[in-house]
Amino acid sequence: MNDYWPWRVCALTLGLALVGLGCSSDPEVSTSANDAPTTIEIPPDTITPETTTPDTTTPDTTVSAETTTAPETTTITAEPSAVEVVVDIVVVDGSVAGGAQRVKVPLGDPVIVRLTADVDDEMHVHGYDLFADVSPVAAAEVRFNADIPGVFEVELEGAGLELVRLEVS
Amino acid sequence: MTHHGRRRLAVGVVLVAWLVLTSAAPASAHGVGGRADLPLPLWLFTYGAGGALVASFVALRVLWPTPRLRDAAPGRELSPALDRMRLPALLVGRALGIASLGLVLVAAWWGSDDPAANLAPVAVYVVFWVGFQLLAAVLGPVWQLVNPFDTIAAAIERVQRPHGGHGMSDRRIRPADPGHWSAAVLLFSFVWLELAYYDSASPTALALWLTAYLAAVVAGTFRWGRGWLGHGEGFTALFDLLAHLSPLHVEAGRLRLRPPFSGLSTYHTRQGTAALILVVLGSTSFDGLTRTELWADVVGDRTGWAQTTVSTVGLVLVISLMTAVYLAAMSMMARNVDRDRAELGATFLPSLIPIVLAYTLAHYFSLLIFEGQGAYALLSDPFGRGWDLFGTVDHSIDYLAVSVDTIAFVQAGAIVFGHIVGVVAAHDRAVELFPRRLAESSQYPLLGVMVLYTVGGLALLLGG
Repeated sequence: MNDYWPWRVCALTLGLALVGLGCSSDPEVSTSANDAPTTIEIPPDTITPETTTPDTTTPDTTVSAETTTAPETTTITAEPSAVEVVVDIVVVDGSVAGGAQRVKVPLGDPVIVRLTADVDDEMHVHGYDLFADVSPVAAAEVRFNADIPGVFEVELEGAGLELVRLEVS
Repeated sequence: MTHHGRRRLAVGVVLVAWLVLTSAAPASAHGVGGRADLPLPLWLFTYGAGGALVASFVALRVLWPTPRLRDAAPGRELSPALDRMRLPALLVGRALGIASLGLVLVAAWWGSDDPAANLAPVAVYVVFWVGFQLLAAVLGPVWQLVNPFDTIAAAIERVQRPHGGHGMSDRRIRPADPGHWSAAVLLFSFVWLELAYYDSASPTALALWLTAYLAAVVAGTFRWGRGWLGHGEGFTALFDLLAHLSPLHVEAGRLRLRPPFSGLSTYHTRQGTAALILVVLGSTSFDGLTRTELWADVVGDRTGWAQTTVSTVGLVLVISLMTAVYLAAMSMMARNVDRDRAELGATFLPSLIPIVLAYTLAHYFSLLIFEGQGAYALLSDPFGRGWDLFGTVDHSIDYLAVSVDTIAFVQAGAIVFGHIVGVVAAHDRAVELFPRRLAESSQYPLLGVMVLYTVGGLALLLGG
């Protein structure tokens, strides 16, 4: 059985993979190196979504406080601050103004997602499982630290409409 | 695809669509899982695609001139102690299988409407669908130990023949067995629900589909007998297909160990095996396609049934495209070697099995690792009633359990490795069937198919 081909194939593939790793480890190492330290330093005003709470009722204590105090954020032209990634979304007549975009977010950076909509609904950041209510008179806002890598959909939950995809890496 | 098969497929689609249409309140979310994989880095794509190409041509020149797999496939017997474990394992496994099916049905029908608070979606889409594909590929005939469909069929058989007789007088004349066609249609209904239907995570939609599926299984058993289940029911057929990659297999009641992948040489193709394989390959590819920006543009602002319609067309198109590539290659090969296309299909289809496994691993590995943890928590509260049966309900998904680099390597590695195993298996079949010269030239079309599937599969992982 030593002579058997799958072993050789395994060895060959492993070898190729190692060569591949060796040749290209530089860009990979740099991305994985910066995740650990940056996630620890959290700006004081941001909410930390420490635990992913699958329950709709809990995460709103802080988030809805944000939204109710900020009805004037309907016209957001806010300059993104140096560290935060700010994503502004406007929904009119059941569609996303400018179409659903894909936004790149550096791993560990704070993110603010703001939604203005002409309907009563709920914004859901998948994966991080954050929710915020939206209505024609009150914009929704969710703040979190992008400490889970991956691609995450932000959805207008009731309508099933994709608002934006966050690519955290 | 034959005319007959196409009609069955159409009937299946319409049936399932109608069933779901009559219920489904608009709820939340698509599919299970809140996280999708990052795009594969371009350098990894280049390495993978390049490696697959080089390996293909090296294989043609370097590999053995006489077949080896068939001789290796029987393997050797394992300890008789393991065979004595078989009956107790079967009893426990079958009981667990029926209990799990019942639990999922109850959760889907009567549990919480919130997909995140209901055990059924994650249990079906992640633990069962992805988990058993991988288990079968590694451990072989494990599905037979739990298969609840076969337990139901056994009960039906018992009712039909209460005295346990099986003489000629008992045997009704059965209609012609549909081979793998029925499995392909049944699996299509599942992948349609998972990937095309807009509210696939909805427990109600899942309950309807599962009930319809069970009805189809029962009907099939009545029509074609219990023996039909082993190849005619979608999941059983797929898990059996993948079990041929495993080093473990059962022959004449004995558990045997064989070199991995050698079982490919013993796979028994039937009518519709190509459809079965292509439905699975096509669905996985479509899942990759839906994560691209290209697809996001196609779907645009469509939601609900408008989105489902677009997705259904997309799913069917991807499966058709992969089928067209396969059929074209087989026609070309048939011309090259002057043989019948159906005969060649029967010979070379098993070499696509490693690619089925590779696609599943590449697309759903992270889903299993991450969302599988969700099942662990929901086991304590399967119906979303606020229970905590096993004290695991507070377990939240650790999305950092496996790094993104590892995921990317598993994805690219699986696809390239699956390609290489497929090429080698095809080569082995070719030298068995043809004289050396012809064996080599016969391989070019099939190599083309595999390279297209592999590079295409990798390209879909680029995701951007």
